[in-house]
Amino acid sequence: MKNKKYLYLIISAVIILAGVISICIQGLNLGIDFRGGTLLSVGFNSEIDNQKVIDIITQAGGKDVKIQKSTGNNYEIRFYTDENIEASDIRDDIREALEKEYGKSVTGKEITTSFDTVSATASRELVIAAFWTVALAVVCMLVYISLRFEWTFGIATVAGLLHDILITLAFMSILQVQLNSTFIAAMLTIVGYAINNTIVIFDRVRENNKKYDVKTYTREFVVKTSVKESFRRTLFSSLTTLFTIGALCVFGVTSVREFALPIIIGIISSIYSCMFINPFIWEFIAEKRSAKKKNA
Amino acid sequence: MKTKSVITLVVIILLLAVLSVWSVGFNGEGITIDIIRFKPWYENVKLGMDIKGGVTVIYEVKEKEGSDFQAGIKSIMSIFESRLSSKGYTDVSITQQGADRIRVEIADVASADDVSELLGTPGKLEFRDDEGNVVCTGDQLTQAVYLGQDNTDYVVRITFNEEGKKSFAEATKKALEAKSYIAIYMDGEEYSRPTVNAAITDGNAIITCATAEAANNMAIVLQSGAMPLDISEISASVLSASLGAEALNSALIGGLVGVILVLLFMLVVYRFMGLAADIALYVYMLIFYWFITSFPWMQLTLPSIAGIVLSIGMAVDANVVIFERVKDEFKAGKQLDVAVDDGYRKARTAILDANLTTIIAGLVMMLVGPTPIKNFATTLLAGVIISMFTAIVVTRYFMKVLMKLGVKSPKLLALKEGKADEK
Repeated sequence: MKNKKYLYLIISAVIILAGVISICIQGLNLGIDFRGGTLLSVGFNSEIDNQKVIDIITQAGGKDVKIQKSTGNNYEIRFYTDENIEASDIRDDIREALEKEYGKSVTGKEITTSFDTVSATASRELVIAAFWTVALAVVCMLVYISLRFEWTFGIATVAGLLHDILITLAFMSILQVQLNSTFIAAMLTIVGYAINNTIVIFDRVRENNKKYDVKTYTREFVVKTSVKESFRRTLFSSLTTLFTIGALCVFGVTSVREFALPIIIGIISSIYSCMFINPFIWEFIAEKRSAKKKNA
Repeated sequence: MKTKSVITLVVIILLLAVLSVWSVGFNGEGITIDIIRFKPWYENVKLGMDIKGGVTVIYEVKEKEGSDFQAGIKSIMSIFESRLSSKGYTDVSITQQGADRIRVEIADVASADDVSELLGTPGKLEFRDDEGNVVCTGDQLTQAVYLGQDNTDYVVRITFNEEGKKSFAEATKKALEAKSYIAIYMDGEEYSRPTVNAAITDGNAIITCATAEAANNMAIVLQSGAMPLDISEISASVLSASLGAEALNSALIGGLVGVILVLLFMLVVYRFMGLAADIALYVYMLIFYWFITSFPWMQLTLPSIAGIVLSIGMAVDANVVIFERVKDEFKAGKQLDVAVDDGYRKARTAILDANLTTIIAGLVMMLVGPTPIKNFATTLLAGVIISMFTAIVVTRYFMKVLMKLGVKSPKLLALKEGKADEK
């Protein structure tokens, strides 16, 4: 029985380790919101030749061009410009060149383009804002939990939160999902959700602590019973959210998908951690503490 | 007792039906009774740039020593406004963001460069003599201010730099001799043709206008030849209206599919209890729909739609927590009525804790988050608050009504009696 506990921890550790390796090798796929640069979305009417498009943009003054197919003949093209070239100066050149190559004169239909340019200053500010928003939200929620529960629950909750954030980041790096400003909102949703799930179970643990006396029942028993009792509740309540966010992910456009995917992974991770990780961390801390009390 | 609850139920269902028809406007036409037209709610929705399509440009304004920074920003904003409206852009929003940013949003524009050029480059201001020769240009002008009323005239003072001072002095001398004028041209078009009454040698000229408004406009137009502070574009985005519409459609389809899945799930797992939750979810969506269409500060953007869809999934969370509690209580051998009451009561703390943590996260996002995050947070917060009402109060009411109407068998409510797995 004891081995199972460690098995859960090992599974998480393996995913996180894979994530760390992936981040070291290929990093996170940061979008223009975080890195600066220009995102050009083009709805072409026909197949395109990637190299030709890269040439067109490079000729206009863009560099480090990356082309990604989104849906059908819609493409997302990211590029950067040197400090001395304003992105606004070359946007029209690029559009005209693309229209000449793939537009009405060739295929009879207009192509649609959309540009998004973020300067390095703005993206740096966003990273800072993102960090503080998430940090502040986590601290506020932890204060709340410590007030409502004991501090031992608080620590177990933080451990679970870190776990969910790391797992989500791991998947983002492995799947190379592009991260933009909405990723901050996704992160905060995950944090909020993970805490919700943990509270539901800890609420049970607290209740069962009163019901089953520590002298006759082990903490392990209390934890296991509580997890078992809240299993359906945790799973079903997360499932309903997974339905709506999952549908968004399936039907949504790229920017919506980039927002939905981390939330899906985060929610699944939080179901896992609130049932298999957090309660056992709490059990571990609580056991250690009462052992100390006994010795003293 | 039973007839009374039937009547209230019918009234509520009728009310919901009327509101639903009103909200979607019955074939999108709206309903006209006598002379009052009840327009469908969605006509009031304010769409964000990422859906409506258009151009969003953010400028950073650089501080300059010896000039009033905030006043400079205000005057740049009014310069933007007058330039855009003179070019016929109507759906424009210009707002100050933070201390040193100006955000300009223009709907239905296909090119950011047209806008950048219009806003970012100084207007081409020229002074020409009666033969059409350019005597001075905008960059020789350092300032144009509306001074106020002087006797019957409204006065604008313009100031030239050293170079401008010389050429303007020469030109005015010539014009005075010929009893002629010096015309002001903005972007190649004649804007005004003031007569010269004196040779101006100190670089400070006074132009008089007939009304305060004309004088004020004159000052803005002249000033726009010279921006009071330097600006630089830090972000620009252009979205074609068709891509925006596609994004909206896909999000709506996703939302609809998600909602249907949730409704079915609740019905299958919790049967009549699930039906009560489904009705409550419908009420929730109706209230939310009214909410986003009624408040002027609510703007529908992609992040806010994501917030709405997410909150729908979370809205039934509370019901799951309650129903599972009711099941537990019933399983423990309590009477049906008592089990329902106890279930609702005992689930309350967990629901409150869970929602409060989400509210905390939402408030933080709203207070310190960047703009797209704020949009998301607003809808998420609204959703949590509305759902606390519908999931607790509304389901409770419909559960009671259903039970009064005779839905009392545990099977219909997906409840199981069971001593079997009692510990």
